[in-house]
Amino acid sequence: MALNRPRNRTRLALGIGLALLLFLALAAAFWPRPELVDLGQVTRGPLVVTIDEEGKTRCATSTW
Amino acid sequence: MSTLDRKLSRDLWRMKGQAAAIAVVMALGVMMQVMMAGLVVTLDETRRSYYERYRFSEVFAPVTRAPRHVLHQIAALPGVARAEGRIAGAARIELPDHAVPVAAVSLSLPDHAEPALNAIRLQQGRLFDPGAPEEVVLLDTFAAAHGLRPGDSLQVVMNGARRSLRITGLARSPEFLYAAAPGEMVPDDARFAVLWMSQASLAAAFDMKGAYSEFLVTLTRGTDPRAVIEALDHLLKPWGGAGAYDREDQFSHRFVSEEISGLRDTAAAIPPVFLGIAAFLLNIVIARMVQAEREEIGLLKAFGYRAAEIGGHYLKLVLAIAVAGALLGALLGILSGRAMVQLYLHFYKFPFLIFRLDPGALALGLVVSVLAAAAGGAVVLRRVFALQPAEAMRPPTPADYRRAGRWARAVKALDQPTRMVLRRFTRTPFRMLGAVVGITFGMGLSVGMLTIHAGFNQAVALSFDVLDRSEATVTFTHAVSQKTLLELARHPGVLRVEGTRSVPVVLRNGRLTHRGAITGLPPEPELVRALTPDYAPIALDGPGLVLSTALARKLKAQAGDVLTVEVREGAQPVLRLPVTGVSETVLGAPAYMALEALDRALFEPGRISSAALRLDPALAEAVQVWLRDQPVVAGVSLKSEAREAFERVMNQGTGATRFIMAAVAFTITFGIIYNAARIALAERAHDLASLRVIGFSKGEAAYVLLGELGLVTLLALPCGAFLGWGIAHMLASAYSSDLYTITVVFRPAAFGFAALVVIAGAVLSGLLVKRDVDRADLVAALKTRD
Repeated sequence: MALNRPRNRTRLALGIGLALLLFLALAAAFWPRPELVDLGQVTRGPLVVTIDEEGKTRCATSTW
Repeated sequence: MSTLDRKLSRDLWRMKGQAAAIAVVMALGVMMQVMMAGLVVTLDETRRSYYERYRFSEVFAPVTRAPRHVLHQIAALPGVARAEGRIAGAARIELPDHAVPVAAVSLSLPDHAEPALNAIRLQQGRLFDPGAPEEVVLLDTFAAAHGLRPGDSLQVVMNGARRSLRITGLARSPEFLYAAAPGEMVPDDARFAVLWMSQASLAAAFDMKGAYSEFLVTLTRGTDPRAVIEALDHLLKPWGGAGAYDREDQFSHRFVSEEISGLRDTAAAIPPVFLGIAAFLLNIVIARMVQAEREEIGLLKAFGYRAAEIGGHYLKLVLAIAVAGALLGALLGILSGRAMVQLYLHFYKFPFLIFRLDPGALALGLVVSVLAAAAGGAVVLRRVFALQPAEAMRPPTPADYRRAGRWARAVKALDQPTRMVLRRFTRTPFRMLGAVVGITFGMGLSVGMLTIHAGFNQAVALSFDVLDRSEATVTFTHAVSQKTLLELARHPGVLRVEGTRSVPVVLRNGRLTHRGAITGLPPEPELVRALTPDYAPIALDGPGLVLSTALARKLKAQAGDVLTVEVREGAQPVLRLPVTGVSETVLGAPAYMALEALDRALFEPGRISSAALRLDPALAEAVQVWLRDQPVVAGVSLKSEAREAFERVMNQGTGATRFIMAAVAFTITFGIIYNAARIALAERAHDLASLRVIGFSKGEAAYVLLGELGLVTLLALPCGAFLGWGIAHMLASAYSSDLYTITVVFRPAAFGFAALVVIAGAVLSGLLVKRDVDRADLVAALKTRD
């Protein structure tokens, strides 16, 4: 149908437009998402030393 | 055979493709209904008869040590039908291939009589000889998990002493359909054992000669268990009664009940959606199918058939399809139900399980199909009957195109075939709407099923990666001093230790009660945490409770309410504690409290009952071996094992149905699209042939039809996405139970995948239909059928 040739371009444009829209929507759906992670901040501070429990040194092989 | 019946069989043969497509969609809807309802009935009935046959007790009353004669007093209590006493004690099994000791409970059976209550079912081997103290009957699921057989020996630590026992038999009991390691919510066959031994042997092991440590009671008909529990608590107080509880609070029963009620909720909520969608489709398609027969109806009327005869004829046609679909569905439902029962037999550990059909579901499926089909047919038939025969025989009056004028100018830029496609939407908006709604349902089902899958995965990730970040949990035999934490912390390979305390309690909010535990957490915990729904840690301080969402829902409590807390340990104080917050949880229904405040409330400062550990992966094995030899350690549970167990529970229990549902959802989606395409073809066969005759190419003729299908599908995608979001919420609440909570998570990929399923279905349907368009016999299509 030769008469329709010029109008076929609109149809093509419309088709490509819809396909592009669909493709973009799917791309957005499958786009990688950020993962949940634990964040912490590294800070400088004084070193704290605590004694939680007392221990006694014993000699393992003491015979005298 | 009358003429009409011959026509019927010829019509059915002519539209066999379409009829089969409709029948299959209906069958899938009915199948879900029959399968799910059947599973619920099956499990319920099996459990009931199993309980009855093995005399499962209704009230359990653990004590520290009570002389045997107390049993007579218990039997004499009003409302008590039968009573039995036994010795119950904790044990630890050491297996050569297992670094971590396995927690067990040892129970006595009467020496020379059948147990009056809680009998066991021997699966293999024989009962122990009452005279041989080293003989033991083992829980068969545990034996199966470790490959143990009668005749094997078992290293067991009981009451601090190591003993070597010989397995004489393997048994099951309704009391241990499910068994979980202490301190865990999720049952795991491999990590919990039950040892049945003679009374004499256990009396010696636990220093219980002439005494019992647990009483079992069944009630007379119509007795309120609370009255008996109260009487038992009063009677057993001098003997260190830890508080009697009824079956509802027994671990195994509760778990099975939750699973069955979860399945019942699922069966009540989800199959009707499938059935409804199938019925809707059936209705639409039947209506359009009868509409396409308009000329023939006119012809039949002109031949002198009465309206009732013609109506009956078409009713037969649509009912043949609907009933065939429903019967096929019933058959598929029974088959898939049987397959599921095989899975459940393994999972629920019932010794027998016979799939029973729920006649109600079958009847419902049949009635819904028949009504949907009859309604679809009747509405159209009424319209056609209103016409004069001569008028009905002519093609319908061409539609009024005057209104379409403005439209036409706006789309002038488009070529003829595209305008024909668009015209379908403006001229027959209701048909197109029906098609869009149908595919929307398909898309919605797919989105819902995929989103709920994401929800299940999220539940595992949330529970084991976010809420609990430990690698192992050590449970102690009793509440120990916090100093133990230091001892654990300095062992090489232990990176971090956090002590928690779990106290068995009964929580009451007005008339609502929950038997569970309060977990005391240290300030600012890093491993086991209470989190808000946004995953922000909840600060625990002061004497307030933070309830899990599941528990808050069960008790209908919110922040600010004051709960009555009956502690079931030690001095058994009764506390009044305010609720300060609600935390997100997946597993179970815990309640959290600051450890310090909990200890203070119990007047037992500085005590912990378990510790969460983070381990150096290289030394983890060595740490487990070391822990196994520590006398205060009751059990060690590894996160990886608990995670596997949880996944198993979700994938094999009620959750297993979601895989079938997903498969059905995809199939229904395809069925809906295919039907939409077929019916459009049936309606337009005449038009399409005309187009071919006036010079359209095959491709252009197919484009007119497929363009419509494509546009309908495109419109349905976003609508279906929204519907699916709603369906996912419904599924989530149906699948959630006391045992685990499934939340809906937004996963765009789920939508994307569902869209791909729908698009693939549309492309495939399009190809199938295009084949028919290309093959169409122009002369036959243009001729009026006989």
